[in-house]
Amino acid sequence: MAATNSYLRHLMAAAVALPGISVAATPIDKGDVVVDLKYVHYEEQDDLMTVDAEYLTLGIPLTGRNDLTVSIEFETMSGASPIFMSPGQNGDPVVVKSGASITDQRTAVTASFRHFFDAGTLTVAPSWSDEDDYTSQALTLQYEWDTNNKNTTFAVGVGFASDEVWAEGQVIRNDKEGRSVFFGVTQVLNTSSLLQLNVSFAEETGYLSDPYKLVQVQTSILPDSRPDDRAQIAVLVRYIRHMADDASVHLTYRLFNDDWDVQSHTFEASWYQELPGDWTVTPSVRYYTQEKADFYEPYFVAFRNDGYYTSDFRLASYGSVIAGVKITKKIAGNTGLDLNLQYYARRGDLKLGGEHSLDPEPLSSYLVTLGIKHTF
Amino acid sequence: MNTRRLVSLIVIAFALQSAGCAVNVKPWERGTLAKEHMAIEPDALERTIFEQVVTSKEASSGGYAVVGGGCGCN
Amino acid sequence: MAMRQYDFSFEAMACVNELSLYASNKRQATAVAKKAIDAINKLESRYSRYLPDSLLTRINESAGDTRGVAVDEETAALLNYSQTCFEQSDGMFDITSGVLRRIWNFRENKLPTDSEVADTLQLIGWDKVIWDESRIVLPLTGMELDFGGVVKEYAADTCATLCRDMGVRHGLINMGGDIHVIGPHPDGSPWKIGIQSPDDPGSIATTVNLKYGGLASSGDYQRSIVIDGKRYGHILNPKTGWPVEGLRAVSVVAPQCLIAGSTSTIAMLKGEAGKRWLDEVGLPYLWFDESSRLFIKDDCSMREAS
Repeated sequence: MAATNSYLRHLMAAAVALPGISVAATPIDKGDVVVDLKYVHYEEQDDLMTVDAEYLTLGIPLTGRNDLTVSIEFETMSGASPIFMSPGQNGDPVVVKSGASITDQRTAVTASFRHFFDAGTLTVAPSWSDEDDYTSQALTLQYEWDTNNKNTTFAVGVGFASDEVWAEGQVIRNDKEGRSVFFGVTQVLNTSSLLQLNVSFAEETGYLSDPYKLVQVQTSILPDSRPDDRAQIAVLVRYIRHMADDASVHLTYRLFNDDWDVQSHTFEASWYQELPGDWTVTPSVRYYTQEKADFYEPYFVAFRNDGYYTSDFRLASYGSVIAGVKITKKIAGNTGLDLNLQYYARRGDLKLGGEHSLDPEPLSSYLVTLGIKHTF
Repeated sequence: MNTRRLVSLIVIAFALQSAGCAVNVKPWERGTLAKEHMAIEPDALERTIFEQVVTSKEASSGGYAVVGGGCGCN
Repeated sequence: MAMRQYDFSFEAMACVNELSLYASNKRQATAVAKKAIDAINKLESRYSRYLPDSLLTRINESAGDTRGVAVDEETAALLNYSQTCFEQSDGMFDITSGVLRRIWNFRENKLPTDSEVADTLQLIGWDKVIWDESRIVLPLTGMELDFGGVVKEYAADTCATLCRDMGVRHGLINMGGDIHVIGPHPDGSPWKIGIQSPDDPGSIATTVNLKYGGLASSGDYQRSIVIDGKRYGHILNPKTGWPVEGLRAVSVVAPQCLIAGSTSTIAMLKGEAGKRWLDEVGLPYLWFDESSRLFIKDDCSMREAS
């Protein structure tokens, strides 16, 4: 099948160069409604945390050169959660967890509206999310355009978020706000490869701590206290190359830095392999390494002048690996089924070079995603 | 925060991009590039879900251009 | 603001053509039609093989001159498109094969001699042409380019693009069977396009309903030579110089009339192998086989029409 689709691809690509053939990006084809449904199950070892989520995305064409994509998410989270760490024997940290299993439900909606100009595409996407102890409203705006015979694509975007954070049962809610800006360039290198570079800056202000977490400082137990602002930058480079026999490789590297002293490197590699019968198999691997925030310790033996403390392992020095394989099958040209299985392992000593945090409870978990996509 | 290293990384990446600008793939040669798995994100919803999962466990976020708002990941 | 259908008939590219479009009033419809028809006429004046001062004639007259002719962007894109068709059809779709018309005279019911065919084949082959994206060179005297299989379909697409750019949302352009539907009728209903029966040109074998996109057909039944009961059609294999055998007629639907046309032509040129090839391409089509049985493949599956 691949060879004949190749015929059509080549001809369409050649036709597009002709002035009499319309070139502008087309919205979802008139009359085409696209539905994408995914079910996700995430489970950590020892029943630490389990998440079940359903995602529904609906793509609808609108009059004029517009379309709308609505995404809805329902998520149920349950499990015990680490609260703080205490020195055990030999001073090694021991995790103190919440006793009973908490169940939290979350609902999120994003409505992404696109308008297609001749020069480029504008996306306006408001979103809302709601759960027992957190609400969020956000807005993202993005503009994307091509130059150079569509060999180069630019994207710029801004985002605003306004959240409320509290611990369940607390009456007082805390405010948190975020602003971000994004730049991206995608460059076609040759007929079979492309390179992407993205840079994003973000700043958060307000209550950035975790209302459920505590920290042991000498013999006192204090609430998790983080600075009330955080500036971060992420730079991502992605290389995609077509390999012989209907396959392609995607390589990604992301560098992250913030003013809490966190620095991380993310490496991802995926190999998409087309197989006869409209199957595609995609093995992938991701390696992540992170340097801790300057106010992270499993527990503190001295008080800090700035009063910031956290024992949330999320801000520790560690490394993690995710390995997985995805299988997709196309049916009758307009339906796709996919199954993705991923295994996640986090351990202090997986960190790249330098000192790593002792990980009292190395994490291992798996993620299963089952999806179906249909175009009407 | 190692700004010097960060700046040199951005400079190198942009230099690579500019070198790429000298190449001009004609539209009729784009057959391979139009394949579904040659797209930046062949499955956008999958990437959204994946980034949600990892950002709830990691201190990093951003770079992937996923459109959408906040989450309860404190 | 009720829309009415306005029809415009005009001659171009050796056919009677019809542009139908919906507009609020006659003045608007006429303004659009005039621009569209002017664009089609302009394409004809540049790419017609019959006009003495067309760009194509100038290129053909330069055959044998190694300096060749410099061409503009649109012509370059047409040549590159033709080259893509040549590559994607294993060399069967070849715009240098028009010279075969010199030795195949369907009016006189006479077959060419073997030496005539051999001599003419020397002048055929896109790989003999020198094309560097700016100049086209036909190295041998007597070589010719023929956009006949490309320009009428391209004209239909150009007309549709122009109409859309001017705000037309409902309409259709029919250039002697090469059709581009700009949009359905205002009530959303498709245009009903009748496909001629190869055995009985006056009657309609089946109807194709189209809301958007192009429809083009290739057929072998209009002109032929019959000698001793054997039929020689007018679709000629550019590698052998002799007629192909296989399908009698093909119609293909594609987002662009240009692609529909190239696909139907290549399907015919591939003869018997064209059936399987066309099925794998993935576009909706219908064909009549040697016994004039009709097979239709719309979005779902192929079936024989009753």
